[in-house]
Amino acid sequence: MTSERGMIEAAAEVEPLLIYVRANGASTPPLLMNPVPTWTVRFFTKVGQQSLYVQLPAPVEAYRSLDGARLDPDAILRELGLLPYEMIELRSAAPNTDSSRA
Amino acid sequence: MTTTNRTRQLYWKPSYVDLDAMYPPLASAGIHFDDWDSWDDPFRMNYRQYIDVQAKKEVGFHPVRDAFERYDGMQHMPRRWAEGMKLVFPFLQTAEVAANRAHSRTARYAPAPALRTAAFYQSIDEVRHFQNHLFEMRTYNQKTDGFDNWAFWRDNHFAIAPAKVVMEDMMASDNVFESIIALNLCVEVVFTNLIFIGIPSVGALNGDTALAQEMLTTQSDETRHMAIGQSTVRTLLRDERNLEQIQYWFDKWFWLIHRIVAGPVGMIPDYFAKRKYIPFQEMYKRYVIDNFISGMVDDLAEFGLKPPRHLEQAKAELPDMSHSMYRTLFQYKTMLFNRMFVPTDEDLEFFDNGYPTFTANHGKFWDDVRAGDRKDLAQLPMTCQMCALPCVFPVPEAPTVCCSVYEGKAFWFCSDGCKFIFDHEPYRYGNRVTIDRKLNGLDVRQLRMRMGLPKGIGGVLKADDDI
Repeated sequence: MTSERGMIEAAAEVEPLLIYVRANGASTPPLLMNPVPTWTVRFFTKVGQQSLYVQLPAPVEAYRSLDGARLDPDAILRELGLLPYEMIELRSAAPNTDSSRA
Repeated sequence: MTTTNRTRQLYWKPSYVDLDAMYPPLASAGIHFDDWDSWDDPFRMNYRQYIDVQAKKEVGFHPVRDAFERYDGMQHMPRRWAEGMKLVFPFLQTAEVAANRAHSRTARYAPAPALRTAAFYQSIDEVRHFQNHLFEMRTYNQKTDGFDNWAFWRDNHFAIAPAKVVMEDMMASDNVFESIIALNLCVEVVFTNLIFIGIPSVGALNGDTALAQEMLTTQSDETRHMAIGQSTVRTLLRDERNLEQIQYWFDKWFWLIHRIVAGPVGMIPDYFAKRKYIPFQEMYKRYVIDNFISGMVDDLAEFGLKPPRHLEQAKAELPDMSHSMYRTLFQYKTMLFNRMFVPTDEDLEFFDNGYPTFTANHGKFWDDVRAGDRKDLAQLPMTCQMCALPCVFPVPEAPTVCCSVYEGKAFWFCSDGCKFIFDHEPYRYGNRVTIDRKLNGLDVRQLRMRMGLPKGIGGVLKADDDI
């Protein structure tokens, strides 16, 4: 309980990042998100799809839009060196995908 | 010299202050012209003549509006048309106020006396226009909601806030000639026929005779504004040193005005008009491509002026622009002050016939909506750093969003056209805060509370609302 409270308090104290998220193949416009910097890319991918009203066929991968680099799912967001307002693009790695419901 | 000609030269060289102090060179920096005093105004008139002409125009408009109001003209309008007017009139009013201020700046700072006089009359024209737009809103306000706090709500509405962003940028240009190219040429020559002739045609078809007459009286002034814009461009292009600067402003402002007009205004004839005239893209083709590009621009080719740099991109957007904008607003219907509606079978048939790619690009969205999917989005979309419109992609596999990095931050644009402008003037646009960033962290429910939208405003028209 103490460690969970600690994580919640630590998350509350950390200033969120400012990152846009977009789902490839979806017509939903990119949305500005405020993820906690300690989130993993994997968690961000899950939350991002929910915010975008999208369900991409698994597995879903995250890419940095500025340079097209694929992001390690286990990487921590704050360690990626993202500029304010960068965009992360979510793409389905499954073959012949029919993308979104948006 | 005749008395008339003598009285038309009412400027003078100051004896107690330097001319540059009265008319700062910054206002025309980079523009070459030999003798500003010799600049000619094609519409030479004195103030009395101006007032006489304008008074007659008012006499032509207000009786029509009075009659519309007296005989409850709104009862003959489809309900959806009134919802569309909640977008049109705040948009126009904002644009006309900015135009008034832009012409006022030109009237104060232009180096040519004739241009100052012409701009002075134009600034008063714009006052007449925005006053009449306000009068229209007053008329609607008596019978429908959504107009009483429009100025505040406008600043948070995707389709209207861009008009404020772009038009206020135009009026704040350092160089009055940039304002003239932007306003007299790109707005008043290129796009006002589309707005003030095309839209009234649809309005009259949908029972809104007051709007039709109001817009036609507005357009009657635009002919004078257009003439000043065209004569200015022709005069400046006679000196080839001006070509590069004029070309850039032309490319820039054509693109920006296209963006704020084509999407928001395009929804009016395509969606908010129950009784339809022609598809918006046909209207655009008629008034912008055929009239302007194939007319005036071709004429100016002798001076080296080329068609707008992103013209082909503008044309490529037309099949989807009104539809993408409408879909986006539909997905944010709970935070708008106008009501949206689900297109009817008749609407969809019109779209299928007028837009060959409609079913492929937008059909599934409306099928899902009709099956019960509300499609509501909880957070604001990315808005373009330049045109302030949402970055939406009708063809999801071909997103047009692009990015520039400036001073350690990423800036996003809906298109190459917007990125082109930013990359030329990042110092001017790099501090602008887009609406999604300004309201970051607020979800739709919180935005609605922040905007003070009362219960019942926004949402969707019911099926029996004469959609």
